[in-house]
Amino acid sequence: MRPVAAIFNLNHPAHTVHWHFFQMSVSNIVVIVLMLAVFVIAILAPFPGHRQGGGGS
Amino acid sequence: MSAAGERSWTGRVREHAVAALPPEKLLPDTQPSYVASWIYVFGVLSLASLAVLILSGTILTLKGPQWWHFTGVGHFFNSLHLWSVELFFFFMVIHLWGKYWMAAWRGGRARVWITGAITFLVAIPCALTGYVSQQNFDAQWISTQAKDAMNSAGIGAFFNLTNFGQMYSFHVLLLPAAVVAIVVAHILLVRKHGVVPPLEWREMAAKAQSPERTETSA
Amino acid sequence: MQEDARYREWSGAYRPYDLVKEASIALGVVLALAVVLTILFSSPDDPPSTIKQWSRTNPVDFVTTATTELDGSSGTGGYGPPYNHASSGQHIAFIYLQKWLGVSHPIDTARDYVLAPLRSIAGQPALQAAVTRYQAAPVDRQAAWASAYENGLGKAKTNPDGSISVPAGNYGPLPTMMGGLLSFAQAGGLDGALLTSRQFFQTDYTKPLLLMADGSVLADRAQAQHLLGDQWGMMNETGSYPGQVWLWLYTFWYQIKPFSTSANADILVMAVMGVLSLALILIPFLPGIRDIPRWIPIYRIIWRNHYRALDQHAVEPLHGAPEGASP
Repeated sequence: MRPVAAIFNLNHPAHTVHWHFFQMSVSNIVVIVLMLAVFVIAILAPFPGHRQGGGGS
Repeated sequence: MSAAGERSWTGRVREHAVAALPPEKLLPDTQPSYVASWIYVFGVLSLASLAVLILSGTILTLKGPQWWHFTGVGHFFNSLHLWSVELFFFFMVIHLWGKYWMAAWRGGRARVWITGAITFLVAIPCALTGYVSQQNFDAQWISTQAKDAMNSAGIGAFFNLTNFGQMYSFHVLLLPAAVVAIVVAHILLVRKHGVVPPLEWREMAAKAQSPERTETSA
Repeated sequence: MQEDARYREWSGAYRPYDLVKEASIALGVVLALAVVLTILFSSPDDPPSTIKQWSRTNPVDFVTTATTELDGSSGTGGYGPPYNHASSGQHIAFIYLQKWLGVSHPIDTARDYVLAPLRSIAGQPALQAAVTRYQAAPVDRQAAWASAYENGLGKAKTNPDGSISVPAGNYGPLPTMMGGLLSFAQAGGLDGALLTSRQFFQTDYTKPLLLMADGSVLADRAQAQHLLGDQWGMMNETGSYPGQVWLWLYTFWYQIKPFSTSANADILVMAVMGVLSLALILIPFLPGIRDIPRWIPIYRIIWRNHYRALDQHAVEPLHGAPEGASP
């Protein structure tokens, strides 16, 4: 292995979640949960109104 | 304006382009008042992720495909490239979800949706060619497994996942060029048609209840 | 469609907005995020397996695989196009895309993986004599030797010097041939020979990769890393890194019937995903699917400021009135 300076070493076999035939690594579940959370927050969070430069497209 | 403008190909291209996208539309400095939600930032975040992807990928191509295995700096740029891929898909899918729930294809914007969906679908094989170009165990496994899907559809006959030279060429030039071309078309279409207005649900409900109801909605 | 025409143009209020500034901020944010993630987690780089390593750590598996390459019973030997004509490959009903696109990357497993590498070894007359004896024998004798040797390999032992011992049996020249191939592989010669068989410069790793994939060296590592098909491996990355989450639906089909038990699983999944991908592209034209956003009105949350402003002004929203539109 090459020298890797990372704060969290993720080079160990993943923890997985099993349920019937469903299997997913915890890392992937974290990503999916984050996506859903960010989507919900993006929709619900108040948007600064009528100010310059804060818009989106 | 040249008198030969209408006849020459150049003149006609220029006129069409300027008619479709005058400068104020191409680079507007106002936006509709209803664009007021954080969901709207995910398009530009996807674009920014694509830019970081391409920048980090360019650095990796400068030193060749083996560099990142043997130096810390190389590994740093490989990591940047991997995380910008994750960010690209992360933001792009949230952007897709937002646009779906807004029914953003309304008002003649079907091509905006189509180009966006195609971008997503082309990015997937672009990522695949990247994964099989890593020249490590992951690349060995992914190429020997995914080849079965390619071969089953006959695609393997001309797209060989275990051929590093071919996969690297697709990954560094052909597929990113395709992604960028489709993204450019997508953005120009958004600029041309504008951001889709909100659904006028109260007007629709009122119309449904009113006695002189006209055509049902599309 | 009348209603759709209402949404073409917005003639209502606009406000100032800095597009270039927003794009610059987005670029800064994403760059910062990518750098932070890099510093926190770096990226995986599990070193590749080699035939040299494989033949040293699991010589029995290596020799067994090589013998199946010799008699064509290996995965690659019976694969069909694009490698050979041993089978017609996968199909849906009468559509045999795998067969129709032909053998574009021919591999003769007996020649490419065993006979040619052995013939390239110089200075070993006993080994060359064994190969000559094998090639001179009739086909059914060759098959009988290989079959008996594969049975014997099921009870083989690894010796301390890296060679293997097989119970006595009628194997013909195979033990000598495979012993020679094993030494060649353990010295690193087979990795190189498979790569440069056509010319000096090579970028095509198909031959060595298929040989390794026919054995268990890659699959054993993959299983430990949760990368196997029935571990939803398509979505996963080595280690604990997030993988290719966007492949969730591709790998999902492989987990359920009829795909999970079908010999044509790959083409079936490709077909399903092809149809669904087309559907994704064509959502604006699919009745029902395109109407769900109206039925489940998440849009009312997204545009709540707009609707609130309409209430406050109690004015009809301004929009270009297409001809014949009702007020």
